[in-house]
Amino acid sequence: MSAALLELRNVSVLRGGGIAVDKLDLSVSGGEIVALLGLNGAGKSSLLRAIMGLEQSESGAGRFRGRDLGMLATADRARLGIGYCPEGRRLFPGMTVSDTLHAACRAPARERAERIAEITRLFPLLDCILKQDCWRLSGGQQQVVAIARALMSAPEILLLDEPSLGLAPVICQELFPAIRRLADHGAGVLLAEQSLTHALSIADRVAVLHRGRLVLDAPVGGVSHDRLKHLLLSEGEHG
Amino acid sequence: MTSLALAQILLNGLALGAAYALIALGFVIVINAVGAVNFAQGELVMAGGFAAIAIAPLVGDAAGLPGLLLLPLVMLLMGGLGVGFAHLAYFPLRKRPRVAVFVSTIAIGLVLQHLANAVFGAAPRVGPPLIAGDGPVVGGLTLSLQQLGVLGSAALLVSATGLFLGRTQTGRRMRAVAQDPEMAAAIGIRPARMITLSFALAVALAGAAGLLLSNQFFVSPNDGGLFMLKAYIAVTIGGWGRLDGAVLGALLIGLFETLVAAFTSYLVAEALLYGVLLAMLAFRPSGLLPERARTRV
Repeated sequence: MSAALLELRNVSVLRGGGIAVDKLDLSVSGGEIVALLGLNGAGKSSLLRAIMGLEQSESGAGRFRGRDLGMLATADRARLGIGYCPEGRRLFPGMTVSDTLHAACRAPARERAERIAEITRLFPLLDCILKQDCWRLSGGQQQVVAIARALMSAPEILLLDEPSLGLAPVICQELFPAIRRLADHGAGVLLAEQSLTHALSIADRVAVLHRGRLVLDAPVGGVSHDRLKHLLLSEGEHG
Repeated sequence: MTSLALAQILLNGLALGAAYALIALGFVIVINAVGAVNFAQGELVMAGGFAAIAIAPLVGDAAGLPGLLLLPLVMLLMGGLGVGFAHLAYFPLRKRPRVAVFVSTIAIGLVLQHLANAVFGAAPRVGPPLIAGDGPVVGGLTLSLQQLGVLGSAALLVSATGLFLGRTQTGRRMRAVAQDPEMAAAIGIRPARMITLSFALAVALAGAAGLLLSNQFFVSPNDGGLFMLKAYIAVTIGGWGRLDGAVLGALLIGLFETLVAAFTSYLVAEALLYGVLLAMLAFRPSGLLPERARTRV
């Protein structure tokens, strides 16, 4: 595993008048999957949105490959190598899958086609839906397209927000190993999840958020399943 | 009425509808890009007509070149105006309620109208012909080169706009921004650039329509409101937010106006058109081609 690609230091994020993320320190290296766990409202989505510049950080600093993210617009962060797959997928409903993937890549046409072929090898179901409008896709297909869209720019780090949400178990069984393969090819992954089982099946490290505060950051092997459940579910302990 | 006369009327209607289609296309492109109605679209058509009148002596008449060559020049000039328009009417107000953008486009439309009045006067002016002279005779019907030029140019521009938005990388990115600007930015697209381009394209199309209409229907500073209404009706009939719907609606308006005017009068045709609009709003408010779930293009 290489040096940290993404480093967050003392990051706080305000959302809806309250503190969504409170003085958080976290890093993600290339080839590493960090599972960001927490209940609804723990601040996972706000943190990922803040890394993309979609949410204003109240304080602290984020650095990607040593570069300060603070002054960069969202599009510049994406161009720098941060891929983002949001909660709810947010595909472009009136566009075909093919157009969606092309739009997400700045390379010349031939390279775009090669990139689509490469991602299709990772997610074979893409091959038969390329010509379909995104609004016609099933939830599982949409999730795959949303991840593929984030991968089109060959990001060095991928932010995934609740990829298992609303998906059938059989789809998850294919999706999570594919995310692992991405990391094995060198990408860093920050995976916000509520499903402990799915997240731990592929993660190298686990970070637990509780009401915006980081209450655990440890290697997956260094913490028991029961301890994680306890951290996620106990209310008063971290207050 | 003979079949020859009817064919001539249909040709006139198609040519008029094709020019309206350019106005409606530009209208929809801006709605989709920023979610706000550009109430100056009609004045921008009028400005295109006057731009053609101003440029014609420099390139067409003086150099002995056909007026058709004016079309790209007028579009280029109007595209530049569109960039300025975006930075005046939209960007300073983009974080305000949508009504602020409506009002700013109305204000700029009025400025354009008064400017045209001051520079060109209130009297209607004749725009340059695209191609002068009579065209071929087909089945006893003498086709006017001007009308064929209008029809051909508009068809070419509508097709080119469709291909640009549908098949090019820039077009895909403009569509992505139209559907979800925040998510488009998250995949590396710069929304402000695409929105500026959308305004430039919309205003260039309005300018092209201004040139195409200016010879047969003349152009005067007060024409804007009428063109704006035609675009609005076309989009309502065709289907809100859909480019193909806007073109269909515009063609139907052109045919309707020309046919009804041939049997009655232009004023009756106008009145009936508004009647059709009311009926459409009452019985099929989503238009002939309803917008699918958030399918802006």
